[in-house]
Amino acid sequence: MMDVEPSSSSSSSAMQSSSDYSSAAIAGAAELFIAANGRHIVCPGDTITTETSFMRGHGTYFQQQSKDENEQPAQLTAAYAGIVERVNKLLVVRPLRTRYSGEVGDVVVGRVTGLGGKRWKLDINARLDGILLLSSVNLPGGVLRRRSAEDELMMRDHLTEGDVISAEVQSLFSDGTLSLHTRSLKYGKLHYGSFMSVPSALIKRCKNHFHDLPCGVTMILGLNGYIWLSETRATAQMQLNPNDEIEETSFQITSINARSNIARIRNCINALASRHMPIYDSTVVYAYDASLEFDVKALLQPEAIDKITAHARALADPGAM
Amino acid sequence: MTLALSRFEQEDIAAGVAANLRSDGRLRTDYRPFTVESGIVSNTSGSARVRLGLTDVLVGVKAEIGEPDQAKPTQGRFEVTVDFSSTSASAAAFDDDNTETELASAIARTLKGVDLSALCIVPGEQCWVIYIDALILVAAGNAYDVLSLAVRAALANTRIPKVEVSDDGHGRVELEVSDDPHHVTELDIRAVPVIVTLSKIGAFHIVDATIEEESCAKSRVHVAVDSKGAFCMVTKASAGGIEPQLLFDALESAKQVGQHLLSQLEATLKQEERALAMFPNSQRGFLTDLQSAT
Repeated sequence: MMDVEPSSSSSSSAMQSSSDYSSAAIAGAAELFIAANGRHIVCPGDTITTETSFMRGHGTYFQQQSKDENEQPAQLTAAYAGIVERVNKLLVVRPLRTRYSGEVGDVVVGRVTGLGGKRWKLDINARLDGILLLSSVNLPGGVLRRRSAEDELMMRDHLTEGDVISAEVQSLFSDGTLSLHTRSLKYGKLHYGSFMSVPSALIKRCKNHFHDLPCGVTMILGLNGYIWLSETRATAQMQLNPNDEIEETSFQITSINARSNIARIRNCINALASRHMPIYDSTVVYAYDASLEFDVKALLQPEAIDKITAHARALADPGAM
Repeated sequence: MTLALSRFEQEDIAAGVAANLRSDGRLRTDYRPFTVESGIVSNTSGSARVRLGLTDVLVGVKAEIGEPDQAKPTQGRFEVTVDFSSTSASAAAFDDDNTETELASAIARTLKGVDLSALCIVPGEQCWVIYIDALILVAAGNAYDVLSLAVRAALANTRIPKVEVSDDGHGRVELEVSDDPHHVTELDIRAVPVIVTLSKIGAFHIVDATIEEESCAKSRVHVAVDSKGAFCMVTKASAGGIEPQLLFDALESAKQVGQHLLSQLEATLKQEERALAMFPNSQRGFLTDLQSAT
């Protein structure tokens, strides 16, 4: 589970002392940052810079070229395949294929993998399982109710293994575990619908990650790369008093019309992911519009994928590419 | 390899199968497009890599001179091994009904009907042994079918050097193996079948199940079909039962799907051969798909 990250202890004081690095170093570095789309793309082992004034951040390490330290200075080398990013003097390689590393406030979609000790464990595509504490969910019968031992015994009635939920990252524990919460009506257990996963780096961070698409599909784009697609329902059941328990039988299975649209959206998202395109509401809608000339299952063919992703690429915000 | 799906997801998938509209828009008997690359491992007699969805299988074939099976002294023989790549498919390797040995024995069974008398060198003493080594790089559903497609593509790609047998007059034979890359024979693979796996979900069967669909299938049947439409193997995997009528329906669709797959594989290999003849220096094999994708 744990990826070994050759990282530095990038102390914040050093990051702030940005004023003292020489302009020559910037000029030298500037050349490095010219590549495809003005981005500096590296493979593991590539030399990022021979300048010594930079600091090594995540995904980079110093490689000694010769045994004699005085002969040649160490080169800053990439440990991941990804894009070089720079914050003042700190150089970081952001990998393109990696597990999700969360931030507080992120919307994620996760699947329950276990229960125990007043918490649910969730698969959220991160290096460690996500944690949902019993105290971070809304239980029926009052938001501010004390959690009793009885509640602890009833946890499986609320969420059980295999259940998919949407949640928000509440905090990061010191070991990097993400603690989630569902204390809002928009989060919680997901019922009938379709689950899919894409590389988390492709999901664009947006203001809103819950989308009711015009074709009658509700899409939740988890920042961890997990996506939930379901039929858009009237919000009546959302407006229920949060203190009432929602009857599980009140959920309706996906209708046949919505099923075809969900399949289409699913194939569009997979098409975007297969061509390394950013995934957010606009690109999905562009791909969907272009896909309408094809049969849903024809969207699995490479020719159709090329066509709809080219359309989405042309229309999408170039800054996001 | 199976996923733990929620009750709602399982019901949703089953409802989609019942409505003949699966989660990616396919009908129950639709197959996903697959890609084949053959001849991509240089130090083998033949090799192929087949990808279907995320599932990714690499097969290498090596021909070596060995002793024939005593029961069939005038034939060559196959040796099949299957390995899960330690990084990509480790969870699947521990799954009960998808183990390396079961995959290997299923492939070995499908190859039983193949006539290997052309591989005999000295009856009862020397023959060609065809080692088929498969590596499951990613197991994300439908591993049996992809594996059998890759095996067939690799065997089609296999070239065996010609051997000169000479008698030294004292009853001993000497073998001279040609090292000319053009002085080779191809394997006759017409009788090599392809496996079609049928998964039962609800009251219906589907072909080419995704990993989600496999996870909520009650039972699975592996059917090997050759190009004439004959069944070469029928095995039921997993614990659930299957109704007699459903089994007949399943075999009928396996026949159609299997023959279609074989002709599709044939066409893909021909296309690859033509492309290679036109652009002999084109980049093939691993780490080249990123360039062709962009």
